[in-house]
Amino acid sequence: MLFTTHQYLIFFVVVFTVYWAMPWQRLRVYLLLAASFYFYATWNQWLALLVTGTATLDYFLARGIDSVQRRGLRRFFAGTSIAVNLGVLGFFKYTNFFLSSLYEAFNIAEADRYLLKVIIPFGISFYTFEAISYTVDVYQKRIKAERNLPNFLLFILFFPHLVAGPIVRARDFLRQAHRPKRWSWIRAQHGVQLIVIGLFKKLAIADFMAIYSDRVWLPDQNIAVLSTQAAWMAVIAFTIRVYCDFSGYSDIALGCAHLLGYKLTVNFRMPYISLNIAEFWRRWHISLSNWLRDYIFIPLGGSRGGFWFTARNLIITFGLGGLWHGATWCWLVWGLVHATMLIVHRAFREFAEARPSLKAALETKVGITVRWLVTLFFVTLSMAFAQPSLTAALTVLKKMFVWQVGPDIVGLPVDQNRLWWTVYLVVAAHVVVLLGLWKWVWRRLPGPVLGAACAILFVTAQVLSPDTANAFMYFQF
Amino acid sequence: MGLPAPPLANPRRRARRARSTIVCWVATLLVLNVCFGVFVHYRPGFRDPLFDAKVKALGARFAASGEPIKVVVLGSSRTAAAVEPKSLEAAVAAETGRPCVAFNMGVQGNGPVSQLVHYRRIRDAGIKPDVVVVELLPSAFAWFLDPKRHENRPYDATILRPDRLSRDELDTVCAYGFPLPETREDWWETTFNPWFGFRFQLLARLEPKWLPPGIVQHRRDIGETGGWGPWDAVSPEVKRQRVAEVKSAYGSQLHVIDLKGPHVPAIDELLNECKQDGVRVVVVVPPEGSEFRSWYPPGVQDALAAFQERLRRDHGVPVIDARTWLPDEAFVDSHHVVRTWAKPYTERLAREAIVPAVR
Repeated sequence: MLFTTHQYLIFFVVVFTVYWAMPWQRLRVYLLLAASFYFYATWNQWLALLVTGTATLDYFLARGIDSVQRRGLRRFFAGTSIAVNLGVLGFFKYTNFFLSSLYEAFNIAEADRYLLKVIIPFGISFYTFEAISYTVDVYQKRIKAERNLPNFLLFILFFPHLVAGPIVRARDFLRQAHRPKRWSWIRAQHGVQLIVIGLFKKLAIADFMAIYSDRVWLPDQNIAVLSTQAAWMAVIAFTIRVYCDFSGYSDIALGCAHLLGYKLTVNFRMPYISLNIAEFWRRWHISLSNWLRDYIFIPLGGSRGGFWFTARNLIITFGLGGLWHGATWCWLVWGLVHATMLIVHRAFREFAEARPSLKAALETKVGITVRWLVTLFFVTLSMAFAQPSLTAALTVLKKMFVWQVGPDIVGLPVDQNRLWWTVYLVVAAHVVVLLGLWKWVWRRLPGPVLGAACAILFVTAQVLSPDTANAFMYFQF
Repeated sequence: MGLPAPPLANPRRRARRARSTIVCWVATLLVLNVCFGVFVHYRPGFRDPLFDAKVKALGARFAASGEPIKVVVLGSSRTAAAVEPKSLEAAVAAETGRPCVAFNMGVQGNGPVSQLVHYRRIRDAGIKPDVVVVELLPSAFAWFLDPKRHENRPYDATILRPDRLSRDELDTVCAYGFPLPETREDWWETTFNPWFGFRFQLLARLEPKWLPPGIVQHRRDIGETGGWGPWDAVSPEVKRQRVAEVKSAYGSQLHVIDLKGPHVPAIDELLNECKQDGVRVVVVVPPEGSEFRSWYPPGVQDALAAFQERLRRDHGVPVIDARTWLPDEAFVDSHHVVRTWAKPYTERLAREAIVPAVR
């Protein structure tokens, strides 16, 4: 059930109405739990049971960790929980990757026949990370194990974040699950605004950009005939699409959660205005980058050692981060490319800090513009690795830098002006927010005008939505 | 950086403002949807823009022409590209000695069900032609896989979307194999959320260039005089690419042509209704290149021949198989006729099919 469908609208309206009509606080948790299970089961009931089953196991193992003092036993419970979660993730997501890589290495013919026939559960990477972070936090005594099973299950299964995040932390969510919910108009308004903005990003921008980028990104496309201009257009379209798709999803998830009285972690803070790659990762998929930092990078030693020690940790963290996105060599390379960019940034920062004149130059308006452009350029280039295969990624990169004439976007009978208008719109939206105009205007607008504006934006998003009902890109992760 | 955000008002005022925001959001949405829904209800032509533009042009052309022989050509984009009304008019007039007015009502993606729906609309608009040319498109009798819903559906159902249909037409198409309950659900979704359901119709009016690829039935561009939608010649390289695309789209479908499917009776119903209305009918299988014809499996060729024979026998109508009438260079993609070959094809069609029908 996609957030952008009528089915979801009906589902949400029913859940929302019953939820707030219900006078019993405890029952609300049960209602949300049932709704979340139904939400996932509409896609696959067996996998919904699997998620519920592993979450229940995590609950009992965490209770075990909390109730015993012996270190070995605590470690056993924590290890079992992590192993089960990683085992399920590995089986569904990575088995075929390793098998196909193995078959390829040994040149086994018709390797596809020997792959497992499994479907990857939607959002498995998200709820696995949530469950692992909970177990680790309980093991490290950062939080107490949750005593209420429905509350814990809701933490994992809560439908707004279930399939594509944000990756919530137990300490943030469980507190809210215990707290009685009271209707707040302010919160509801915030939720509605987030939903409308998210829908606009997804329907009017991301799904439209997909028309351009799919001609290059889908596996069966003939990218050999791509012109340089087309390659650039496709990469730019993909860069905008991936941001609007995922941040649009996150906005809708946050908005829906707000309407039900829950606050989820903010996942994006305009990442494309970042002045360096480290800042980019503080603005892009924040819940994942925080998770990687807290549960991989810091336990590895973080940046407490020397330059090369930090570089090693970054490579491991982002290599795993790349594989988290997708079980392909391409995603691994994508992660390593980002690790390399972070290492280079770190080296350059140390270099610049030792040279006050260079540091001052980088803080001027020209310096800031150059830093922004360089960051955006490399982030955009890295998007080329979000391809089905490394060969395809390298072909796209080659097309971008080795001049080639050819059809604009292979056989695409669509007006390219709309692509550029959409790019201008995205840039303008960033400028408006960056200059503070957005807050300045919307805090001054009378309620009725703001409501009407939201309705018009909602309708415009629908009118500009293309033919396809694309699933959110991050569902596959 | 930028303007400082204005201070927040006190919580009570903020709550009041938030409440009025949400109430106005819901109210505006309701008003916008109801208004647009009412507009579409009273302007049914808005649903199917290309057909609406064509039927208006057809009405105007017939009304301005006195009492000539009136010919309406129904069909898909193949017919839209292949039949040049001016040549047809000239050929019929030369052969019969009577003036003739013809209009090409071909719309991309039309199969038997769409042609029935469109014929009824023409009749309901008060237009009565003397001759109707009905296209018999073999591939339109195939089952097509809907990639979104992973199930097979008649060819018409992939193109004639519920938003293009009125309530009565919805019942018609559902009776001819359109998938249930999705077709009805989609229609009701469109009705209750018209801004989404009729977005392509709206975009086609406001900024047609912004329509997504493949949404051509929503453009109001009726082509050249008489509804002719010619295709220009392309280079051999582009032609090869297009033939490959056509093969990937139709090649396997020609193996699943089902001449006993639920959509087949639509053509019988169309022929019956024409007969009841006193309209003479010519059924034409449009021309195809040799490569396209080679994709038909032998069994299907025989079944098609038998089907044509049945139509002749049951309805007493001429059925012209024009698939081999044109050479390969006459096609852009082995099934759409190039502009310059439309004239000779149309003249032959007039001589061999339409003139005998009007005599």
